Amino acid sequence: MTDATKGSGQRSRKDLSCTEQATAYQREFIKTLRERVVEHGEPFAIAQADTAHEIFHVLDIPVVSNQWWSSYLAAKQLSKHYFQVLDRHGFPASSCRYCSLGLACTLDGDPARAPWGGLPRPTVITARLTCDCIQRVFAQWAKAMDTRFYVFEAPGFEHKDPAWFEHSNSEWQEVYEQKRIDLHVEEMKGLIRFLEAETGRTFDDQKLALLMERINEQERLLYEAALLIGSARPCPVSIADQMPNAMIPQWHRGSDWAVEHARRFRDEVKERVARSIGVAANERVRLMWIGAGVWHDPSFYNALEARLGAVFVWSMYLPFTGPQYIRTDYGDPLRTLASRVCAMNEVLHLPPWMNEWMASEARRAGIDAAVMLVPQTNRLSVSGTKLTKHTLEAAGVPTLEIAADMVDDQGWDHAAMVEHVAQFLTTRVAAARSERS
Amino acid sequence: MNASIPDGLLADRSRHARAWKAGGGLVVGFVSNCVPVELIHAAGCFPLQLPATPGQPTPQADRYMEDLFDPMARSLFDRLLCGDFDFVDLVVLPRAIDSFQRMYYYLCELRRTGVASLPEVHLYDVLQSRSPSSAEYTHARTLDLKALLERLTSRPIGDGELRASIAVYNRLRAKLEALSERRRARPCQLSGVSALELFTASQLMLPDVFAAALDQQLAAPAEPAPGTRVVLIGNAHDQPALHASIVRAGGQVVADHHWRGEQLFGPAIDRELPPLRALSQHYHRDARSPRSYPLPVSELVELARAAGAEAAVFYYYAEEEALTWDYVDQRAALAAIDVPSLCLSMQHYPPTSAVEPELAAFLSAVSAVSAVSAVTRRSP
Repeated sequence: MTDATKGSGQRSRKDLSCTEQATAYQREFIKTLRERVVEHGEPFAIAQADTAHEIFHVLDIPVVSNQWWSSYLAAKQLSKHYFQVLDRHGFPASSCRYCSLGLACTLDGDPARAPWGGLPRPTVITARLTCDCIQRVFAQWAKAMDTRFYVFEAPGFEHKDPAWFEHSNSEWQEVYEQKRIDLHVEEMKGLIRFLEAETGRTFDDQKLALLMERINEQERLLYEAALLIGSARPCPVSIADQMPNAMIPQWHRGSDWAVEHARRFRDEVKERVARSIGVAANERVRLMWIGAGVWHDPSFYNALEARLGAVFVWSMYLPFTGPQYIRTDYGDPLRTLASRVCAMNEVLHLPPWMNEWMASEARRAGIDAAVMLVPQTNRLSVSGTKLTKHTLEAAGVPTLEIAADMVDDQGWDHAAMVEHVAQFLTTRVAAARSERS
Repeated sequence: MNASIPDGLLADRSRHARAWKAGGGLVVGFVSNCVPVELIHAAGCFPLQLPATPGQPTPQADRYMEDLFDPMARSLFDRLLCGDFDFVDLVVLPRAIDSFQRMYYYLCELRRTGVASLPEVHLYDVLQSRSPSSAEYTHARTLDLKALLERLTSRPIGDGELRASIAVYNRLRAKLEALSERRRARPCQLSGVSALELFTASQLMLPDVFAAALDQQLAAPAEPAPGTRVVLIGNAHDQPALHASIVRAGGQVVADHHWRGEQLFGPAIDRELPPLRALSQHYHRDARSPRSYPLPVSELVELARAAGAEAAVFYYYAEEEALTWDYVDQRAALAAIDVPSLCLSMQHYPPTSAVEPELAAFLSAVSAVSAVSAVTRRSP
């Protein structure tokens, strides 16, 4: 997420000192992971981002998010090679790629090429079955790593509250549905039983309760930072600083480091707001970024700041902390935890949750226009984008779809894409603003 | 020629359902092989597998649905938005296929925002991993569907009605199986084109009417269908264009390993269990979908063996991103039983004749190898 890319040959610019601290912490975590697992025999897990990492944290099992690993491999410009590995293994080219870079890295079996020698064999890998692909990719990965794949179902969602983000902190039993939460609790109990048997450790409910409190503290700090960024003029923090400071603590949520890091980030944002520091010398347009990051070319965002005074004020990772992570605990932390994860993906990619939240966020953050990543090989990530575009445009937010992938740089042309967005800003967005004024 | 399919039904696939509606009945449209048609039938409604028209322009769908959706889903979405199914009282979509599940949310949103006038849409929230919690969850959702149908029809669905409906569908399964035996005979006695048309027609008519019509088909003389014996794998086909291409290329589809083929009804439903439990067990455990997990490759091998397949054709839509992950293991398993395969990925649906040269080259090579093997086997 933070290193040089081939798209522009440039790193993204980082303005905050805490950004380097976050990336350094994650690098050290991964660097020591192999030692902990291979040399000391510690258990270890690979999990999709929308699973209950808290279970692993309570059991002191290090966990690596597949999405983080994918984004890191992409940022290291390894996507092309690893996609060729999948081709060599015979998987047809249309196969979904975002969740499969880690599998490809394992199938490649080349520790000299893989960052830190690649991930060691995990005790378990786990995912929610949010699409048709993931169980296939993870089953292949589990087979390649000779480990167990623990499955969480992702049932349908009947209760569709367009204003879910206003109620989700406390009324989560209604927002996410009792039956869905009940199922997820049962499945988490199954994972806990498996991990206890595998590791000989005991899951401590009290520890989970404390962890949940600490996570609430962390997420409130992050959400406070999101609110500051949304309300400040000029925009104090670039998207390149927002993403790592939101997500790296998320991978370690509830730990002392993560809570303190969230505080450092919030404080640094606050200070920049107080000093009226902006990310662009001449801020003219406030943008919303919809979708995962362009991990293979993070300097893409900075390019628009310098050229057009266009700042990406908003991306989902930071403001999502508010509605999706903060939870009132009514005395059953496992149920509370289930409510956090049992629809994490759905609310980001399906109507009415996605479009209504994003339209509300656009209003809150004073957004002039939105740029939306539309991957061409991943139905889950592309879902809901057209309806969201309709909702945003009806709310007066011109929206540009860009056909590109999060991790696959094939066909990506940094200069052409910057020009494409620039054209949108100087024509449609300028026209919309002049009409409004 | 299929004696059991009324003239023109495949060209006007909603005809029987519309006639039923005109006669005062209720029509429940559904999609896939993962919706309990037995329950819809037991409620006294006409269960209609909603007919798509893939290949036709989809301007309404294109406004709201992204490019990567299954072509059948895109077509149905468009048809629903155009009002083509305004005679349908309820639409039931499955959670078991990603494109249709997402389409459910899109339809609900367009209903909510008043953009489109649509029939009521329900998601049959069937889960298909093998855990007991998934089984129980699915059972509860089957009860929900039953309650919804009872509200729709204003009458309860009794166990007796449900048992009777299961019996009707089990008879239908048995008759389709008898016809499949004709495909599996050597030489093949039922063409792939005819077989697919029968599978398609089976969910455009009332099940008892179609089961009776199948008797005529079974009584009719067999239809010799020559060609290299092919098992077709991958995405679903609701029209036999590829089957016809395979015939022109020198082959014959003797088994369809997709949800519009042999997987359409699945095995007979257990009649020993309480009927609702039997239904939920069937759709949770025995109905095959992209969400079925784990999905044993042995089922494909058994089908290929039973059908005497000499070759396999994998056919994937350009929009397919999931089933392709099964390809490597399936290909290897088939190779282990000496069934060579051809993979056609990133394909258009409906298929065009552009695939025929590649099919012909493959089937010709298979045929040549088979001839050599036959000679070798005859050698002392």
